Amino acid sequence: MKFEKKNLMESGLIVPAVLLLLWWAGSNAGWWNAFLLPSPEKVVDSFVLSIQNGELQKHVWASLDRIIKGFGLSAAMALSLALVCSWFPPLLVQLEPTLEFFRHIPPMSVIPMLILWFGIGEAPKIILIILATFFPVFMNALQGIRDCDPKLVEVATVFGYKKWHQFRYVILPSAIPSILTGLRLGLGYSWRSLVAAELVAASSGLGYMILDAEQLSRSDVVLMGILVIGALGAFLDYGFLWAIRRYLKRGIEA
Amino acid sequence: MGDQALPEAGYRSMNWLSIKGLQKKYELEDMDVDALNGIDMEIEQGGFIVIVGRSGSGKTTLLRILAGLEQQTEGRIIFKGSVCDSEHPLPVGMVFQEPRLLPWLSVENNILFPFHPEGRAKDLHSKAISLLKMLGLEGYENAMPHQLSGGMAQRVALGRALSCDPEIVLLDEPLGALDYFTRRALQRELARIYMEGGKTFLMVTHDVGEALRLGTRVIVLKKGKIEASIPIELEYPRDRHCETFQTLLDEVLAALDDL
Repeated sequence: MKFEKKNLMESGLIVPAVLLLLWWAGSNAGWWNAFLLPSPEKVVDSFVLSIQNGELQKHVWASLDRIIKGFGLSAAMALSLALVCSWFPPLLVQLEPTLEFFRHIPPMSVIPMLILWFGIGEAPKIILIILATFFPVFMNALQGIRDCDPKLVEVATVFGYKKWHQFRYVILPSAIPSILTGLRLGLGYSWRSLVAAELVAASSGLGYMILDAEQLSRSDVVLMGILVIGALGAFLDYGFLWAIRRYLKRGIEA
Repeated sequence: MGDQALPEAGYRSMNWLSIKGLQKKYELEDMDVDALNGIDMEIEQGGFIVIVGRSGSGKTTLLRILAGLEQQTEGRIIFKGSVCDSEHPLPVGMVFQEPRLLPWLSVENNILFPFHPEGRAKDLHSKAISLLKMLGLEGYENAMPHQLSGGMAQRVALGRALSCDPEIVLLDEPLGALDYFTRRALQRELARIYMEGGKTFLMVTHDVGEALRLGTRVIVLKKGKIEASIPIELEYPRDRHCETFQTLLDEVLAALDDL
């Protein structure tokens, strides 16, 4: 008994349970206007309905598809640029002021220009994801490579490692944790920026679904969309963390 | 190498490794510092050369140049008749003051670190196991560096230096960071490994007692120059209470002393 109690105390489930209970009780007691905050039952109903007619799956897939393309492209570019820059420092010196400038532009502020240039197709959303995720991935990878203990590189030098081998067997492995941290941050950013992009200009995706529901005054669907976005984001992050742990464990054994 | 080349056998062969006129200058902002100021020395094959000196005497710089980690300003290192440079480094294995193990590799893979670029580490499992056995670390092949004590980690570092069968083993204050008992135990092991291996050992230390317990020759370095080169012809294990040991100790201490 005591053990179960302890599990509950450590589970972090108390806060969501209390919030859910308050939401449910308040809705049923009529503490607020049901249009401003629909009841949990109504939100669940719209969730089930949306799955039944396939709308939700369609939008989720549209969003995920953009994440896969945008984040995949962004991560590939950021990682290769970080590798090239650490291999060839003069390039970084040349790029740094420009990158520093772009880093401080909130991706959302670029949306009008992106729509102007690329319309409301897939391109502006993918570019937006790249803008939002490039820097955390790039910066963390670069930092990880820079932070490699020079004493370990010396060990490799003593044992006759050529420069490329030092990079491959010492510097890169030591940077892996920070590269993965960057990827994880980037994945979170990509999700957030994507939904924002879909809110502005899209004909599919979860952001669009919310916007569409707003215009039809369906606050229950809006709320359902928000919850699905939150849950999917958390799920993606959790999945990534799980993959990292698995990889690191295997890396240690191999 | 095995047991055919006992330390005494090659002990007197000269012109094996020669250091000629070695100088190292560091340029600081407003002055030049001479870390090494003309080092000439012959290192005999199979010897256990211990370099002692105060901090700033240049002893670590000398070792780092031999390891190829730094370039001398002037002078040459000649090994078996040919000049060493960055293209033709000395065949060394090295142990640093800290273990410097790669934290993401198991003990076995750390020991086989010299073989990773060639992709040969997988074929050398039995070699790693026998090295671990020699170092008293049997059964630790899958342990990770963070699970080891300081003494154990330094043993692994020693195994790594020996795994590629180098002709010369460089030791840069390898026991300096260990507690007294671990240090004594590892001194005994170093002497044993030296006796068994037939390799040439070059060790830097600031501990004169350690130098006398291990070295076949003690070189005293002072301000970048060789102050004295004292042969130690005593059997292992050495009794530090015997008269010869004390006389030699006094000799080394006198050479180190500034007065």
